[in-house]
Amino acid sequence: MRARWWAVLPVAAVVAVWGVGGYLSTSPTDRQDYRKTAVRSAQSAYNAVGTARLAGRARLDGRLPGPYVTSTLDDARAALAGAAKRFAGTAPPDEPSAALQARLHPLLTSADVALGRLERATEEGDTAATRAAVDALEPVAAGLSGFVEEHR
Amino acid sequence: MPLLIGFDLLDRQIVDRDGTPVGKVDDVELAPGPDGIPYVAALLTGQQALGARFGGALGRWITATAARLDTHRLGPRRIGYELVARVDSAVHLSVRREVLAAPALERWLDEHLIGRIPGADHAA
Amino acid sequence: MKRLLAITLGILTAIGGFVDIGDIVSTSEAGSRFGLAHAWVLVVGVIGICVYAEMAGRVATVSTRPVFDLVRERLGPRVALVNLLGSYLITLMTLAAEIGGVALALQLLSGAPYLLWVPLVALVLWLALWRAKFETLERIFGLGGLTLVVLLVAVLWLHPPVAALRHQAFSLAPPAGENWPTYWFMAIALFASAMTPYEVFFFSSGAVEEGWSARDLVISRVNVFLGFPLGGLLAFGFLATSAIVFQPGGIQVDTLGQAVLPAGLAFGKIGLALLILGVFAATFGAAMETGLSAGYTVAQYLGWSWGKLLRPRQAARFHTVVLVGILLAVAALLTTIDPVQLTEYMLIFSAVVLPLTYLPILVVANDRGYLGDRVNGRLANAFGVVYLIIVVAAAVAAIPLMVMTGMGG
Repeated sequence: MRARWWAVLPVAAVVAVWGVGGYLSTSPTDRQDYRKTAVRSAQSAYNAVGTARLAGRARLDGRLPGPYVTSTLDDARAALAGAAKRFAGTAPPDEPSAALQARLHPLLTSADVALGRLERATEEGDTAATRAAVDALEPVAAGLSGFVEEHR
Repeated sequence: MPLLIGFDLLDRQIVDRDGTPVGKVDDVELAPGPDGIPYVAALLTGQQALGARFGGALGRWITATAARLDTHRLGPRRIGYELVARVDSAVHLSVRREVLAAPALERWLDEHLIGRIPGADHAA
Repeated sequence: MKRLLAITLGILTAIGGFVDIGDIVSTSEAGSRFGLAHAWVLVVGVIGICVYAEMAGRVATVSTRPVFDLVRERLGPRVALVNLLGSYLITLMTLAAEIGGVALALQLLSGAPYLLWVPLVALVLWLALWRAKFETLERIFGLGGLTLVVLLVAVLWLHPPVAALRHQAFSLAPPAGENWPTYWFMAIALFASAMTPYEVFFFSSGAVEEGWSARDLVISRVNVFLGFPLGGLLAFGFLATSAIVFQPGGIQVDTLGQAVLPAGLAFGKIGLALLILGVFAATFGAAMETGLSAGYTVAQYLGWSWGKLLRPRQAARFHTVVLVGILLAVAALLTTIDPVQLTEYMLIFSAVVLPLTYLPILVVANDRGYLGDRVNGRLANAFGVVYLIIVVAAAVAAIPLMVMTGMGG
């Protein structure tokens, strides 16, 4: 009889976790949730852009080896893509949320474009292009961090 | 010196004369002494004995899994208490572990897997 | 020299415990988000692991019984089985993460994707555990991990804003823009990473393997009281450099590449290469530690022969568990699961099972049947009890905080 109890407890725990998780994942997002998702995505994008800026600048100073820069920029783009995907996967529930989406969406797009430019420039070893790409990251970073500050 | 079986004996590590692990005291076998007071006749070790002590569905499963490897139906490994030299933080036997029957799982894995890998005969 | 090398067990254990891949990334994340506000957790964690590793080492040297023997003897086979399953699962998850971590370090050095490195790393790891001498491994990877010291020098080199850092370190509160649940979530993760159970499994089993006896009690203590603070100090290097480089800009760290960037900023290519080599040694050391610990726990619970002093054929079951563990870890990694995320979960789950490991150690360390007159003194017991309370509190709070903060997000 006691052995049965041992079996029941974990099963009950798993069922409870799945139940709660299932409820949370299907319940419709409200404005607050949407805002949180947007801020999270913006923060991830900002982290990626900020890291790329640091790495790009250090690369220009000759402080970082090529393979390291390649793989760091790769990580940054992957993180950005993940954030954009998460954001795109949530539909804005109301009018103010749609306005939020209209602000963040172009920021994410320009972040992706700017990161792509930097990645290409470093791969080709083009110093002038790398410098331009690093400079181009600055307004994107400022836009993203402004978004995070404003809506957190 | 009287031992508390539950506290001093059960679940202790059994080691051979050289200190090499032999098994756990998964259960004990009691026999009535001449004066009617039961004494420990043997230590039982191995997953068959452990499963029996667990009881319940889990215990039955452990015992059944262990018994499947025990092709000769010998039951749990039994170590006569006369082989016990002393009991402290471990149960020390007076013999080397090669003298005892090898556990079924160890023998099977040795024959079919580990023993076939180059270098299995040399200590690192 | 020989005496100096006798402390490599403690160094390796501590480095594998404090600066394995999960700790590197989560410590750096804490630094990038909270500055030095978690520095006290490292101190608390170092003292805690010292207290319990000292007890475990004392029991192992005096009675030659490693920790998992005690777990089963004192908790009984049923509760010990729960601990075994929990600890084994955590150790296995960590093993997978560490193999991934070694591969990630190789990716940073070579540029080739880490998944390509995984099978190779696993093979070398298995060969090392199958053939190499315990002492040799200890020395190579324990001492190799010491190149992480470059990060501590980097702290000074990066022009630290001393006043701001001091303020963070003594405020014990989250900075603006961060909240308390996340702060505590990270604190528990860092505490659990300092006290991960595989450290005491590995250290006590290593002590038995090295044949330490009651006479070597001093060596055991020196190992503990030098090794673990050193590990904590190296972890502090990651915390502080991230606090200096990333926190002012509000950039959050969540990859290994970011975590090692400060060394490059401070010392250029050579500094970065040194740090990555240190990460390689530390994660490989942690992979050995977890790979062996998986075998130790199962073998010690069931009473099987274990260890590297025996010929593999004499410990066929132990070596099978180690081999299967490595294969499972590789299989898990090849599903392209993120090794860093894996350890973040691992840290929280390990907080939950910690009490089941540390309670038996405390009980046995007071048992004259094992230790004679080497039982705990008042000081060791006072610390032991206080830490047991902390460990239980962390275990209770871990899961609710994880759900509340969505993994610290």
